[in-house]
Amino acid sequence: MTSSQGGAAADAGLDAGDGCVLEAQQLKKRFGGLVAVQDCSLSLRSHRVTGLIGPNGAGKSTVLDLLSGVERQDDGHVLLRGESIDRMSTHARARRGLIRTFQDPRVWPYLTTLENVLVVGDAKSGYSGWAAILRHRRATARQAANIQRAVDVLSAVELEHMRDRRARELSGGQARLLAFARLAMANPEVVLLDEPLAGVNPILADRLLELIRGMAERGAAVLLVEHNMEAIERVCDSVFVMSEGRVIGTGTWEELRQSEAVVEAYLGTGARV
Amino acid sequence: MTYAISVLTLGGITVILAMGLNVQYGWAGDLNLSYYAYVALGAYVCGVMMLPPPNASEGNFYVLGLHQSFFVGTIVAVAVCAVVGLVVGSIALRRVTGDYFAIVTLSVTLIFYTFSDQYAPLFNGPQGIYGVPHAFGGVLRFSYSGYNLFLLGLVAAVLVVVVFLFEVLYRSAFGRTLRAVRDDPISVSAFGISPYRRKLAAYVLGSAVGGLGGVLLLQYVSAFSPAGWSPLETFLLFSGIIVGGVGSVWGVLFGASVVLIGVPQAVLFIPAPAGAATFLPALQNCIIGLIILVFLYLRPRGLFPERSPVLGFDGALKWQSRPVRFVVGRVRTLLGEGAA
Repeated sequence: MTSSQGGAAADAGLDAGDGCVLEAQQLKKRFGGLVAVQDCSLSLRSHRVTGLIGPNGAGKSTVLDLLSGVERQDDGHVLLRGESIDRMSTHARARRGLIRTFQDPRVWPYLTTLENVLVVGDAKSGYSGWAAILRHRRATARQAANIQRAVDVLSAVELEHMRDRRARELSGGQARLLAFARLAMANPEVVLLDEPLAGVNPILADRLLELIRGMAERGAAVLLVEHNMEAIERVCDSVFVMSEGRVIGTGTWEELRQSEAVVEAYLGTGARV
Repeated sequence: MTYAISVLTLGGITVILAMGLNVQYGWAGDLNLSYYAYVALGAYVCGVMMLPPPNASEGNFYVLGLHQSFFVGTIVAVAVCAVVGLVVGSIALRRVTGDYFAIVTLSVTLIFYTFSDQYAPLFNGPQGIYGVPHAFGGVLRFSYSGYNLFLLGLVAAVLVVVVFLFEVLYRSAFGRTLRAVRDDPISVSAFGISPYRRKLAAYVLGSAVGGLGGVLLLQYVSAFSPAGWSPLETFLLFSGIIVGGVGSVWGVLFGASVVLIGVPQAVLFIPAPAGAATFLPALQNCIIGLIILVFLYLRPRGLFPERSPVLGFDGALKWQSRPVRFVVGRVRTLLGEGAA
């Protein structure tokens, strides 16, 4: 099915094993006749922001779907802390600390901003339907702690003034911030970000990049799929480049700028890099 | 007086039914068309638990016939509905959502309806079950009118418990998560919550409440047969939810009362043409259908949309109605955010 040398190609520029939290080994996915992802191997390390770039249709989002379990690969493996999570659902992976975002912020529109963050806290601290009916003291205390943390998380992204508003009343930028607040509440070990800067103004983009950097500094392994090269250059420790479903290059941004194949495939010959 | 008691009893039962459906449709976002099958199942099971063994010489056939008390019958009926809900839900909710889920559940209802109608050994076929003993008849020896009053009290008590329970659940993490699942199941799963499990919990809870409503309905008519219910009655319950406010406990309490008690009573004041016995029921359904359309078009979240919490000064969540929230919001603005 798969070969153990899968990681080898991917780890150029990274030292394998040490701090590697999430590893994809030779992933393959086809949709009917279309091969979306082929022989895709990559690894993410804690305290690092790893970029994933490539032209539209290169298979970046499919890789995210495979890593997060939204889609199942036809071949290859996904390892979380060295353990196979191939057969796990999205929510089971999330429970183990692997959380992804989507291209849209996908906030829950009829919940308030605070509730949006609270739901994530509820998911972490467990189910409390019965506890609520029985007015269990520990559950009440947990709820209070959750609320306090949710408020803190919202003020960290400067959304505190919107906390009692329904999420559908938020602007596009505020919804993005709320998506980050939910991430902060989840405090995951691995974060997969799917174009978090799409349609965001430069000032907010700066703010979001700071938040991404902050997540890595607190120990998360971050995978950033992004078209904004300036952002990639600013926050990424290393970058994978995909084209036509394959990883065609990997290394630091500086190294990739020198690679002819990468420049040709993605950046274009006249690219300003 | 007797008439008023009768209307209120049936109305109360209908509101309880709407409450259960609201958990599935309003909170979990599942368009469940099988709801009335659970109502019927609850009524049938409670009936065959309470009735004596069937007398074949009179042409009666049904399963069980255990001659148990109302209390035991109710518990068994609700449990059976919950278990059937668990089985059907775990099959239907695992793979399909949205319209497809609605189609699957409609099929379940039609299968159950046909089966209960055509397969006599189960619930006595088209004749149905009848002559069901009064609830607590052995202990409390009520007169006819006294019993009706007692039944109204019982329905009111159940309604109060259901409303209280659902209000607590709505405000709890359970309700919050379910509403998030309804809004976007995929992004919920990305945060470690299984949408399937939460939807299944809502489906089972709703089915159990439907069964409980069915038990009360059985006590109200003391008989239950295929002629007395139709799979389409679920749609009438939807009207109460849509008018009151999808997801809102108090909204559904109000909406179901107005539409499902008020409209049928109001229709009775319309003079029916002589000899057309089906005119008024048909007119009633037309009016309710029209109300659903008007509300979906003009006020899709209902008269009392579901409430959302505001963080209080003491760090706890407060559940305010919109007018109160408006005033509080103005005061906060006047005092400045620092005051909050």
